[in-house]
Amino acid sequence: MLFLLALLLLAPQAERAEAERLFALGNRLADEGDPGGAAAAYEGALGTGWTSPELELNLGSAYLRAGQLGRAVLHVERAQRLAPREPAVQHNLRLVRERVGRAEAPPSPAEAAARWLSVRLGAGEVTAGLLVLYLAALGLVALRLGTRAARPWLRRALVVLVPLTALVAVAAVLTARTEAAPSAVALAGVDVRSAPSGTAPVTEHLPEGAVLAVTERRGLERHSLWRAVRLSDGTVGWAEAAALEEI
Amino acid sequence: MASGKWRMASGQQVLWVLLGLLGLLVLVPTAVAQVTVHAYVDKTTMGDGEVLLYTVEASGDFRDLGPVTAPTTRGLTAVQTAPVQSWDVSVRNGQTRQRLRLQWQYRPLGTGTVYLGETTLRLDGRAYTTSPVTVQVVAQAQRPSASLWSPGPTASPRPAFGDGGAPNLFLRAEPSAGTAFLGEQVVVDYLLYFEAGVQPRNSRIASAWDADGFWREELELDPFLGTRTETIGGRTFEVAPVKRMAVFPTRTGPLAVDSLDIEIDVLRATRSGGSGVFGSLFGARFERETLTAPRVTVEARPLPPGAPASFGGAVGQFGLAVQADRLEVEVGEPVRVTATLSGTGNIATLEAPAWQAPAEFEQYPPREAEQIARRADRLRGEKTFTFTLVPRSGGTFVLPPLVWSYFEPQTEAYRTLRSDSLRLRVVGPAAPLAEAAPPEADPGALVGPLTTARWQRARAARPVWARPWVWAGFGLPALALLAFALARRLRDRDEDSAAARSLRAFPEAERGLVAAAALLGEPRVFWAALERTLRLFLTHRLGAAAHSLALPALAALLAERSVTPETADALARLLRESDAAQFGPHPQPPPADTPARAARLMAAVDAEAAPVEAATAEAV
Repeated sequence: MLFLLALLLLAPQAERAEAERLFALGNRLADEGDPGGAAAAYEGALGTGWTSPELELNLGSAYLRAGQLGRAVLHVERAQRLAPREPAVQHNLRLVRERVGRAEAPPSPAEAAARWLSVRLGAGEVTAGLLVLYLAALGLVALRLGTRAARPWLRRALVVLVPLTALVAVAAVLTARTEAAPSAVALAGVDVRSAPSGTAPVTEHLPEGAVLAVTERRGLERHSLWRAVRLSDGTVGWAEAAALEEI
Repeated sequence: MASGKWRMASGQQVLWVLLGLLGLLVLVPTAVAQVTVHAYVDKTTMGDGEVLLYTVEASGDFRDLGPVTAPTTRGLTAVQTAPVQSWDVSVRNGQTRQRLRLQWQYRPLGTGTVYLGETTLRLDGRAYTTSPVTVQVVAQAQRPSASLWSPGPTASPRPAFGDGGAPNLFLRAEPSAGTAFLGEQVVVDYLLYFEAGVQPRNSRIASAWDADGFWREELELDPFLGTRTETIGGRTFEVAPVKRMAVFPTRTGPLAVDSLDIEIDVLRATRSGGSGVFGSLFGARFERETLTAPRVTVEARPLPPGAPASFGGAVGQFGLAVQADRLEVEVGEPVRVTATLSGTGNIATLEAPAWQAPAEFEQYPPREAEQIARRADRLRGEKTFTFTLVPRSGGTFVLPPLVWSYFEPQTEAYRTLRSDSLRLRVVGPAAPLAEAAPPEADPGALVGPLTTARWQRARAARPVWARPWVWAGFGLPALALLAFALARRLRDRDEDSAAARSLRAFPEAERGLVAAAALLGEPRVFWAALERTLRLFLTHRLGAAAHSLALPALAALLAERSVTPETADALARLLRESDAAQFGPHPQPPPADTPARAARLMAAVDAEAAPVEAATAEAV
């Protein structure tokens, strides 16, 4: 039993050591100008069950140098999910999006604000800020309930704090929705159709590396053949699941 | 007969000879006009320490020489790339005859059979190809010593030996190579040659010595190094090194190593065999002589193009070893990474490898130290560069490999050394990656690869609302506030009862009840305080002197003030209990709810009694 317990405790460390080894190997191969080998090493590191924004970013760079734009976008987007405020991630993300060359429709003001907050702060941080304001407001309310004497400052503080808390709550919801929205990358050129069928009319053709929102999975969840997608301009349609990889 | 035959034969032979000579006179000018090209070497067997001279010679009447390419070789390395050319032009019988000689020098790379391929010369547009040449290379020890004497074109010229004035003691400089790359090591040996009967001792340098255009390092001679024997012109000499220098060209072109004067005491045998003036000893005497080694020149060539980015000018043969003094530290603790370059070459001028630790480390300029082994046939040693790093963030970091290049003259190629990466664990809080800043110089270039990673378990990303702390953070305080509000409401409800309101209307009565409640353990005192409080309340509320009324009069007053009979009876019962307890023989402890009972009665009276006229109240 002790042996099994030790094995269970040590196994994750061994996997991490292997991930670090493969990460270093990938870096060496990338330095030596072998992006294909580097990508294979990085993929091996991901296969250990460990990840990091740096690993995803390097893998995206290796794929881009190897000419696989779709996978490059996929992994840089994943790096962005892991470290949304990392300047290097933002830099490489901008580069790979430029390579895709697909013009994105301008987002609505609310979406733009949510994205800005997501990049600058992140949903977790906005939610934490909301929690602080919320607890402060609750504290003031409790104080108001607990005293009979009229305290003007308490009333003024509540007048300021409650609307502010509501505003931050809206921002937190928007940011969380933005970050949690399932999206996918086209690993190759993909047709968006008006219905989940290969014979349905094609409404739009997406280039390799295009990012789209997944709104529904038709059929047996992950085994379904079609994904309902929404493009940045609001266009909805269906795309074959095999051509997409969820971020 | 024999004589006659001979004469007849002799006459025929003379005729044939005459005819032959006539033919030669006709053919020779034609033959001279033809061009012949052939190649040869100065030796077909050589030691592995010797230099091979390969000559291609063209003879005949030609005017123009096309481009010349050195022959392909196997087992040899060229001492110089361009051949040495010499021309001889002569005119005989109206025919111009030229002799062109092209010479290359080669050093063997090892023992065995070496090969020089065909050489093609284009003379007046026509190609002439020589035959390949093979040479046997043996270990130098197997070669006769005289071969060592064969000076290369750059060695000091040996003294002219004649039958009469041949010196029996002389000095010469012998460089290890006549040509060298920029920065390549050339060892110059100063050798003393002396014949038997001459015993030199106590040599010292008697002149300034310079080698402009060279970096110079003096090598130490092994004191136990013996002499060797060489035979020159049939005379046997002992050869002893007296000085050894390593020089490194610092610029290209012909560079001169100055002549060197050495004073030396020499014990010579006297002809008379008797004692001399000073220093004579058993028919010999010491004489001080000054010997001069003529200057030698070395042709310095530039390094070939194509140097890697990590090349800093090192020429020779080197190795690289890198190690850290520890692989696990805490944040703020220094780590020393030592890179050691060792090998043969100009150790003093080796530059530190350009190396950059991850951005989470403060990196200080490397500290240098060198160890040079001078007692050797070539300058060798090692130089260490110690980089001090101070981690400013916790985590596991991969220190990038050190990359360093040098030029290897033997193979005329650049070599790049690369150390292994070092994995360093830093214990302490992690900080955001500073290295992750995008490159400002090239905004269009990808960042990376990043060398340090903040590892985490790969798992599906969860939205914020799926995290427990969010629910706990928002829900628990709300529940707590709700509970607080409910409790407060319950308390207020109690406080809002009629009794409470009555008591609040009559602060003295409230204080009296509280004081009485504190006296529950003393029945008589308790009942006295309670009755006093109750009557005081009735006096205030009913507007009459109720504190002194007997129970019937009090009942009449209550009825007069519209107090219901039930309340009046309850009040009367309470007052009778009070009288019994105060004045009876054995007062019982009052029930704990007695103050509350009194409060409720007061509230009832307050609620039921008609308002008291202000004047009456003031009169009371």
